[in-house]
Amino acid sequence: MSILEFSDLKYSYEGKQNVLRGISGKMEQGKLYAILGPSGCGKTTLLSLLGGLDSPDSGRILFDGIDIAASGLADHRRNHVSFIFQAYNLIDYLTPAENVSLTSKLPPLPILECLGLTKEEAKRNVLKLSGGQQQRVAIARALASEAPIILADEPTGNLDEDTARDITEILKESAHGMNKCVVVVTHSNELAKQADVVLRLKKGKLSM
Amino acid sequence: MGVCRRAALYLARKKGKAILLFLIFFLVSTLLLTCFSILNGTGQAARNLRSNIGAAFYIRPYAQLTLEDGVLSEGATPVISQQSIDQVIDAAQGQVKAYNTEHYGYARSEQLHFLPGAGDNEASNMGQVTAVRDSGLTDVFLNEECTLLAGRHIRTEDENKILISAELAAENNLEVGDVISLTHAGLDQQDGKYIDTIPEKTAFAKVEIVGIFQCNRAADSADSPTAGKAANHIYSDSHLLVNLQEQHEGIYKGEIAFYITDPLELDTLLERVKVIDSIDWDNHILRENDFQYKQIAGQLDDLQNLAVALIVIASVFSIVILMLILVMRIRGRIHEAGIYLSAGKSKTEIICQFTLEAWILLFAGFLPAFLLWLICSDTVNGFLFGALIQGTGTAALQTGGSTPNYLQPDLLHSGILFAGELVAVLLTVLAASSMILRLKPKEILTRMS
Repeated sequence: MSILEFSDLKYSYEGKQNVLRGISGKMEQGKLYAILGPSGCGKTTLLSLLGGLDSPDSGRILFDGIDIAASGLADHRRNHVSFIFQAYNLIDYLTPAENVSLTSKLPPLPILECLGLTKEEAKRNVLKLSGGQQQRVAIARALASEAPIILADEPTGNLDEDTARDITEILKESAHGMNKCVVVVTHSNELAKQADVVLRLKKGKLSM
Repeated sequence: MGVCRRAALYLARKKGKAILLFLIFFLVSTLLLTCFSILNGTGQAARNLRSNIGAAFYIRPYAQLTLEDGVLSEGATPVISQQSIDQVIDAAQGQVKAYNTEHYGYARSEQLHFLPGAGDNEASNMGQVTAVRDSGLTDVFLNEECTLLAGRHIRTEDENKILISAELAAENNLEVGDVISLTHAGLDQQDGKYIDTIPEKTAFAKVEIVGIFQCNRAADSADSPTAGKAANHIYSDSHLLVNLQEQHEGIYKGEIAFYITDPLELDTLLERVKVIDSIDWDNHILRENDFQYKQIAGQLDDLQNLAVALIVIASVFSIVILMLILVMRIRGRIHEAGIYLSAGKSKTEIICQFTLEAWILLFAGFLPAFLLWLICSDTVNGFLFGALIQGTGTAALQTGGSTPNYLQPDLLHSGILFAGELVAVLLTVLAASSMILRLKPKEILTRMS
């Protein structure tokens, strides 16, 4: 059963018309989705709409059958989705453990250790961690939340090949092992190859 | 993680930014506390000074002079009764803080040799007695024309107590505590000689010398009789002349002085006094004295105007500086706000955190500002008000000897000021956070990237 369903989404913004031209689709828990497409085609915009960071000009997004516009975008962001960004977006005055605690009341250390951070690293200033470690913290933050959907915007874009492979594995495991619906916007064919479903966005239209 | 914990962690980890804002709050709070204390202090000082300086009005009886058939004659000397005095005090509705009565007569003593004046003889060796309720309130002592060298002033509750001059005391080897006998006397001239109009003495009183004074008046004229010489002047309590049968109890021939608390009330009060019908206003003059207050009121007004101007400038300056600093800080935290929004935190929660951080720093800045002002206020008070208070000069009517600290911050006013600063900070944070309130999360995230 689909947890996220969107139909006839249209979106334009000042200076760029018809970024999305009535796209529709369904997403399920336990699957890793990759959205591919050229730069500026609207991948991040689609991710923002699915995550409730913005509203479409027309069309509907349903979470578990309920329109997220009706239940409230803030509520959708708080309870249904968690984000992973290319630039990690960690709070710089909080430690990795405290960053993870932003979205969850569960103890942060076990999940950070699962993602390869030591106890000492978990208490260090996040800016003193490597890029890969910071992205692991961002993923830990997303996983720690009870949200069933993870939306990742080019999560491996800033990482070297080996680290990118590790992160891809973690995302895959999150979908399959933790039964999350993981949606990844990426340019990486390597990551796309690991996805259960690949969606291609071109000229405002979505194709499988 | 809750708002409070995030705010505490921000302040603990971003020490430089926190210290900068703390210093600004400290300076602003010190400035505002100072200004408001000065404004409050000048108001209080004005009230106290008005009360200390006070004002006075006098009811003076005067004899009507009539010219009839080329002969100038003086009518009977009008008097004022204790009943009329009580009516005046009632009409003043608590404004009269002291009053003084005067009655005049002459006295002689076998134990006292008065300093001889023009035409002195055995019969006219007498001194003038001014019977008063409180000698400290007589004009000569208030104006420091005469000063008390030893002993004390005549008080309301005294009976048969006198003050004599230092010259008279020296002439008769008298000192404070000595008791002498006085009898009544009257002065007149007969065939060019001064005589005592009461040769048969029927009234005597044992009096105690309670004080010795000295006057810096001009020298007596050469033709002044013994009783007219300043050195022979005796001040006594109100009972002495009654005991010497020269005065009826509660009837006064001299000027009655009323000292009031608030000079601003003087005109209203005089209007009420003028309608008291037990006083024969054809034979009494009502005069007022608030000259000293009017001199100082100008300085107080200047100080209050200065304080108001300072408060306006300080408040506007502080708000502008705070606004700029908070706008810069919060704009620098748009990225952070975007992360919180993407993590499901609401805009309200984010602004609450910013406000809480600012409030904690405001409290941290206000507390030392309050303590600093508590310590320094006395010095500033002496600098601002010391000269002003010393200039009042009416020590006998002042309530206390030392200068009160008008600038000492009190908890109520400081609390109100602190609450005002809390509101100002909240409004400033809201205004500075307008970008976060206005933008959609995606726009914030776009700006982030």
